[in-house]
Amino acid sequence: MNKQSLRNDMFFVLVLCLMLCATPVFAAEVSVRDVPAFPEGTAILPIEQPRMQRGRFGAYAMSPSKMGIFPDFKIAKRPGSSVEPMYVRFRKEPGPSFCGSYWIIAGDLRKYATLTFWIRGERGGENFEIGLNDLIASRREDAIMGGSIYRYLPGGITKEWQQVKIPLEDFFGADFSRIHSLVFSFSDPGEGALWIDGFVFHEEALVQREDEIIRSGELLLDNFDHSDLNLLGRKTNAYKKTPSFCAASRVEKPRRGNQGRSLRLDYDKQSTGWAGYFSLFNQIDGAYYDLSQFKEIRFWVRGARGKEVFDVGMADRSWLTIGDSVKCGTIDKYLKKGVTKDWQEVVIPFKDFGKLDWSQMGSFVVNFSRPAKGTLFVDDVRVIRKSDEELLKEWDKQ
Amino acid sequence: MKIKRVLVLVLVLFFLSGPLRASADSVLVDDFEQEAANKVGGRTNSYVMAPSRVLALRVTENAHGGKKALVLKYDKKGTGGPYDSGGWCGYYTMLKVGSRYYDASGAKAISFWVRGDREDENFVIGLSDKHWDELGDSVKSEPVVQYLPAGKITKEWQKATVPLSAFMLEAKELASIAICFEGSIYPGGESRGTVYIDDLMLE
Repeated sequence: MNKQSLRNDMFFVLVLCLMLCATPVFAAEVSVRDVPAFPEGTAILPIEQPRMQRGRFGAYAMSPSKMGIFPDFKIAKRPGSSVEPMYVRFRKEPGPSFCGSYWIIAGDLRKYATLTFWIRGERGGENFEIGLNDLIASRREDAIMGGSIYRYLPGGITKEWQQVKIPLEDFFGADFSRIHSLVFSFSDPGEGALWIDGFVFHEEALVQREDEIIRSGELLLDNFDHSDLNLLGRKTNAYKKTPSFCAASRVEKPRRGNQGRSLRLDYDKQSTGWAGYFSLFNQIDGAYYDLSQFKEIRFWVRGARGKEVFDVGMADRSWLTIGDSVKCGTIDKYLKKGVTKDWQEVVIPFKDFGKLDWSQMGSFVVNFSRPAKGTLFVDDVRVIRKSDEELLKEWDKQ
Repeated sequence: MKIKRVLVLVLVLFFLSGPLRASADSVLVDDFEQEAANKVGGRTNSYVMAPSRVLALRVTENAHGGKKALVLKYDKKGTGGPYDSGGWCGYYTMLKVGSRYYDASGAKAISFWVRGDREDENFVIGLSDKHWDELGDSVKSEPVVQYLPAGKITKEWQKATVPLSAFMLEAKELASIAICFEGSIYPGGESRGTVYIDDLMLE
């Protein structure tokens, strides 16, 4: 065997080794066309058959809102992509009309953990909410919502291509063996355009939100900027029992910071009934949230007139089961001058809520208990984590 | 000459393919370098029922590999709580991600490195498959000291290897691995201590 042939052999072996080592890298991601089919025996109604074309995009709208989606052959392809991106044009009018688009999956997603795709906007700052339809949700025309695009792109859509990574578990309760479609719902009034491209399903979990919470030392529960769901993707709403009343809305004025919205609560608390607002930590019928390594809740508040009074409550699994929460006292306890017409930050230590099961938390509550009528604004609700030093000190004390 | 070359190639590939297959079957579940997520994308956390308690943190001193190791401070009580059994405490790492269970059919054992502060620490390993996940519980191993070369947890790192056959579960659909401070393995049903864990693997 001469030197040249030995060199050739070694090169051949090296290439084979590299191929063997690289194989697993390519195994765990697929396009929609390679997603497994629905499980055998899945009933598809005749009326649904035409709506099972994998990878097909479509639009829906109720007049006067408008929606359009089509491949854009004029714009340059996204670097690395061989197909034209889809162009999405929307006009959401104020009021009850709606508009959105969908992307048909028609497959079994049980083995996938993450969906990724690419997006860019015409102006930047475009907003929509993302939902997933299993076959049942599709028949009800009521998608399981995961939250606003800002939940996945905290800096928002820009004029540059950005990759969106969505953990599929955000669509809690979906039957992942029978997923029909992904939905983009445009609920903020306004108009604009964006491009989307490159949808891929990954077996790997590409998003680790809890690592980020530990790194930053806080959980931002809600900034009220872009969605009626909070930033955990959980439900929020006003609660009321007549003759008392409370309505929740997200408003641009006033707000903290230069952009986004704050929460506006219009309340009329009578001597009977109840009025307030809740934001959930848990998924309904799902897991509760572990706040055992957190120490306090913080938020910003101001009133329309000043002197508004309310209680702050928190509920663990037991309190949520009975539909109530533990209150830490009125807001005057935490704001020396009470609520004013200026933003003030409220800091409430968890110990003020007594003995809750912090490993199974359910909700944060703003409750109006005193008879009064008024308007309150809330922004940037955050939960602050204990440092490792604080956790160790607490451990040694017990 | 050609036959020689082919024979050389076949021999080289034969010897190389063994280790490659073995490394493909060995999966690092967690090296505890990240905070709340493990290496297979699952969540990790402690679990507790009062009055027992546990604290899970990362330590940077004397890790087995890399920069960090997991430290578990546990305080398993013998009385109080449900059925006056002192409650329970431990730590789990999820192999299941979303609705997808973990296929460990190529693995034979759970392995990890462990050390303690006092050398009298002990715990059991819990493993759950789809069935046990739905019940919210796990099948428990023998006390970990039985899987250690020294027969006890020491102040030095030791590798524990727990065969999957000890659990009699469906390895194709695993849900989680847990470190459980079970009252039944402690005198009087209670114990307090600190253990360090690193490089948890399925191999």
